[in-house]
Amino acid sequence: MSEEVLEVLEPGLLTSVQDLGREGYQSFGIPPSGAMDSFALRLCNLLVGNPDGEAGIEMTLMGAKFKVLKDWAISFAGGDMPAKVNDIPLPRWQSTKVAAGDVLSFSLAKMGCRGYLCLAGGIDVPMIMGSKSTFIMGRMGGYRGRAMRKGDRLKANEPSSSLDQLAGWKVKPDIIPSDKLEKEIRIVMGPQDDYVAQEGIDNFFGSNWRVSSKADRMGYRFEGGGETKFADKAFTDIGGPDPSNIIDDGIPLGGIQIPGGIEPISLLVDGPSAGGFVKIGCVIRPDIDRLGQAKTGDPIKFRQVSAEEAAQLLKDQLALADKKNLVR
Amino acid sequence: MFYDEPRFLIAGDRYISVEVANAMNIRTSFRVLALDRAVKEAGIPGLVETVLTYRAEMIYFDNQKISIKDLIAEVKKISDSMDKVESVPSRLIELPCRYGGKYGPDLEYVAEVNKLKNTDEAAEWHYSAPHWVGIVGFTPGHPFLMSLNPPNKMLNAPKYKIPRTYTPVGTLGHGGNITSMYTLPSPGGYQKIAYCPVPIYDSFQRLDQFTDSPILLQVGDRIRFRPINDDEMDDLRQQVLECSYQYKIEEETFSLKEYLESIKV
Repeated sequence: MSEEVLEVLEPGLLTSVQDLGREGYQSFGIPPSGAMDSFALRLCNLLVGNPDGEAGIEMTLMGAKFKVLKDWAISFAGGDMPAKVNDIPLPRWQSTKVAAGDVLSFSLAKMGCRGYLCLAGGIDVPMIMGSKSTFIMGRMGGYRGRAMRKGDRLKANEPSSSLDQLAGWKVKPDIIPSDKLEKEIRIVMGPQDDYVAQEGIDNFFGSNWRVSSKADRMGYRFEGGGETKFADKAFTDIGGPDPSNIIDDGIPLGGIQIPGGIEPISLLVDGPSAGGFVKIGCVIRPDIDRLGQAKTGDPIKFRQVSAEEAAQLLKDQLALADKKNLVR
Repeated sequence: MFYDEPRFLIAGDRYISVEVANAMNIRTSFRVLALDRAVKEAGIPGLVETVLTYRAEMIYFDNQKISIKDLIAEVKKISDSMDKVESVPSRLIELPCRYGGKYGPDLEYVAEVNKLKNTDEAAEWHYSAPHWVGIVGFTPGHPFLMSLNPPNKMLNAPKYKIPRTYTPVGTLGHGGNITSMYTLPSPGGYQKIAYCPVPIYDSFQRLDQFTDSPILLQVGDRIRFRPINDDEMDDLRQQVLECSYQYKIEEETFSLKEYLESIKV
């Protein structure tokens, strides 16, 4: 039996139900969607005894306000969005017991960009194509295929144990990702790095970039670095009117296009599955989570790693999202 | 057109792109589709999903289950030992559509740049042969189609210089020699030539056809566009509203060889 646990009093800037995403439908143009910071969501679920892959509530930049409808255990993780239960601060990276009638409010993010709120038992929304994630542009999944609005009521499934047993857990401090603004984002080169001149590659890795105002779940644009010079090959290949054009191919999650050689754009969880621009490289999986906590104006540097190193880095990250890294 | 050997490109920590050609046409698409079927049949551990375009198969894999090096070796082995594929199963799907007028305001321009008499002739060029689905993507269920007419009867049109900010769902756009169908209200640069009143993407899965998936089309399908008039358009819209519209779909086999022979002048 599921219960109505939260009512949205104020939806915040962009609040939606997200799990780890939808796999297997990119060949139909359905992006994975899912949490922009999947590592924070994993820890958030662990804190309230939920299985890995359960859905939580993702809030963006300006948090939401909820009324608690039933005594429950909740957890809060991700970006530093100062939060309160009534007038008492709600600790981040912890699980907490709340009571019917309480008001949960999440404010403007001080550091980071996305906060996650999980409910013990998980959120009861239908599984659409194997996932509870909301694909907002496609009007699909999550809560009625859209972002949360005032008056929406979210249901939770039955918690895995008693509220007292689920509340009061904390993530060990050394596991908590840094809130630092400056981010080094690691990149695996390809598939069209050979279309970029060495000068362009040096510029890409040497420049100090900033997240532009065009940064959302579809993709993040970066500005402030120099122009990317293309290699001769890009001018002789017939992909379109500009050297940054290629004949369309698939776009990996995190893939970085440089339309016109001006602003690199990393295509993210709600991004397109195919397109016709040179991709210099791809953000590695663990760093997509870190990028998900970057907001407009944040400084970014790119660093190259190999695909093998990236696989090890993901292994390390996944190993951290483990019950043994919680304390009471 | 084709590379002597497919190119195996690293496309990130969890993706490779197997590129068969630096061109896009029915033959390259057919080869990508054949490769994709062979790769999927091989059941490589760690393969999550693939994204097909006219010129490449992108493979998304779990890098905790297989290394990129081993994956490339496996796919190369499959590609090297693949038998020549002559034909593939291919559904022929009929979609009604209204050409020209307010539903396809750019058809006149398309007729003009193709030096055709009028919009009727341009429409006839478009609906007289089925279209091949070579990509489904960009937005959900959005196909990129190529006419199966002989090359001397394919429409060709430049894209908008400045893309429009809004395209109604159901619009058929034409750019270069590709027709696309808009499945979400979105910006667009293809010439608006027609409008299809029945959905190919139904996110809330209301019509029977979408019970299992909100997406109608897949790579390797063919679409036959059937021209309709305004009266039939109104009738079809009503059927969609009432969720009673029945799609006409035939399960067929498509032989590339026979097709290429048939379009020889």
